[in-house]
Amino acid sequence: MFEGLGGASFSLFEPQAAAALFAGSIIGLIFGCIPGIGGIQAMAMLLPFTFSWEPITAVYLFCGIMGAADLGGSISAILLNTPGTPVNVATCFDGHPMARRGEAAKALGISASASLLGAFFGLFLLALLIQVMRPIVLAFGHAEIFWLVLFALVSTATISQGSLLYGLIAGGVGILLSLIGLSEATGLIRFTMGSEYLWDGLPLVPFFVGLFAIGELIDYSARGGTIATERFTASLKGVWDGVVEVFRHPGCLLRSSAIGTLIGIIPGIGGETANLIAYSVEVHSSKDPGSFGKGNPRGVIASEAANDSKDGGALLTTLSFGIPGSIAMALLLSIFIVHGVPTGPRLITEAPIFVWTLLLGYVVANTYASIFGLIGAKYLAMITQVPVYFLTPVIASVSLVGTYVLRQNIWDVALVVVVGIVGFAIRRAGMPLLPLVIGFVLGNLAEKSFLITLRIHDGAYVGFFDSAVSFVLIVISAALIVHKVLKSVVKR
Amino acid sequence: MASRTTFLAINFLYLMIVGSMVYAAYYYGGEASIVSLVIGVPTLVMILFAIGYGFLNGSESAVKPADTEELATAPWSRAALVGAWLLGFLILVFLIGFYASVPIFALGYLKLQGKSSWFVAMTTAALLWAVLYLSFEQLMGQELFRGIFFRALVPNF
Repeated sequence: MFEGLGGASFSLFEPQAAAALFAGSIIGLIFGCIPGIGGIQAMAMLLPFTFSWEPITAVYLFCGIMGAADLGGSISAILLNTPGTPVNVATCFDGHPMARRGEAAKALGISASASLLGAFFGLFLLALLIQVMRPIVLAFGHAEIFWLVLFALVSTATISQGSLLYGLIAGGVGILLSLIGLSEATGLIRFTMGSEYLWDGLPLVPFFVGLFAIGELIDYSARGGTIATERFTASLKGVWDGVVEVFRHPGCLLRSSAIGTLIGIIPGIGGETANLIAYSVEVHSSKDPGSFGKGNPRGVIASEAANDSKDGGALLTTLSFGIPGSIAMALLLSIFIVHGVPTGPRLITEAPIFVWTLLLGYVVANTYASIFGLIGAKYLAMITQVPVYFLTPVIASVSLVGTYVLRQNIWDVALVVVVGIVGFAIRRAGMPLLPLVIGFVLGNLAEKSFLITLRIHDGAYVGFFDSAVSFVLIVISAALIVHKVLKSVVKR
Repeated sequence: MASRTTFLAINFLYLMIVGSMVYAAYYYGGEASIVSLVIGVPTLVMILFAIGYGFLNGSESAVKPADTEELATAPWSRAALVGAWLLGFLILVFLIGFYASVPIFALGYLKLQGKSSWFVAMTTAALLWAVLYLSFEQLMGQELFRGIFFRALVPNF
């Protein structure tokens, strides 16, 4: 099992590889911070430069970027309520309220340490399971994925503090919005109202940047003052408090890391899902669910631990089967192919040293990123003390330019502004955003899984109920709804 | 506190979106419509229920606070003003592109909305322009949108 570990350790000390790892971590952190742009864009941009490099150097550069980008995204999510990457959406829910009440440094400390520990957890499981993970992947067929999506939706609808009804409405609207454009399952272009722009569907990044960055920008620009409503001193103590806070909630950390790893293992679900599901599970398992969305540190721990642990899970399927579970993993796999490294099950048997090199590189990259994050947190937190009139043009410009650069489509920029204004109105209406976001992210996956399950079983619905995993997910989802309804009846 | 008017407006927006999608889904038929209808029809019913509830309960208490309620406290008039600035910025981007509109927006916003000094406003606008140009155009090699006005004047601009 540990064959090749010794040889791989030496590669960490090779100057070129170490430099690539270090540079990758910094690049990932910076790209992750910029709304609309993330690690994937950095990797895609740098991919052609790495063709002539040694395979290990190229892999280390990518490890650095992947390990740091999610943490970079959490920095802008916490400070500006702008998820740097779509995988940081759930970090906004509690991270930004913490920043607004003067606890930005603490939230950044939580984010950096939870990310690091989550990544270690994911990689530790990866090292343990890499030889025996086939049954875990096979346990999640299309029907199980469909129920997992439904569970995520029900769970987030029930945690919205308003009525269950508003949560379910938002979730339904989110799913329907995700169905706009070319359907992967049927090959049909739907709900575009004749617009060519909508053929690919509503793009994820402009939708999120609008909903969170611009929606929030309107709010705090209209309020005036600073992002943090309470004065604070940006000190290392605040950052340290954040680190300590993570260790006060070991259950939350382990739960979220396990969820992140499991979701990472299942190909095709995507990193956007892990943080949202971990967040909603955390709210449900809390004795005080009302404190979430208002700056509960556990919300940040759950989101960030799941975010970084999911990479361990995603690497598991990428390395064991050669099935990339995400775009980032697909780019990583392309490095293997370009450099003639075997992929799929052959990789583990024929090039174990390469597998360990990758894992060690990933561990070091996450450590670098967290150290940079912890050191920088004290200074980054000061952003929340800058007058908002000063930040408004900066955030608006960077958000709009960042969104444009992603697809070079000017209509994405218009979408950001329109969704931002609607997002602000949704908040003002007192309606929940979380189920809308979850529905939007997972709607397509739900449809695809639903239709494939039907096809496999010749149109019979029995396929949705014939496995233990499906049964468990259905029972939990039903229990959540019943619990919420009973709770509101008892309240009255 | 969330206002009933905003609550109803959002629900009417939802009604429009979901209603039109359910209507369209009937025409796709078969597999292409099944999930849209399974999700769309119950959502439509729930939205109608919420609208009815909002109308019947004519007080602010019709709307229960949601998870982000505490974050939105800005007065509508000022929020509308910021929204107008953003829409103005968007129109500028369409017309004259990012490189011209970013400094104009930054200068205008800082001077008129932020009441900054000319020096601060101009320095910030120039720095913002330089950072965008250096990071996106030079470092990443990404060509930013030049605007329909400049494109019309100089086709290869």
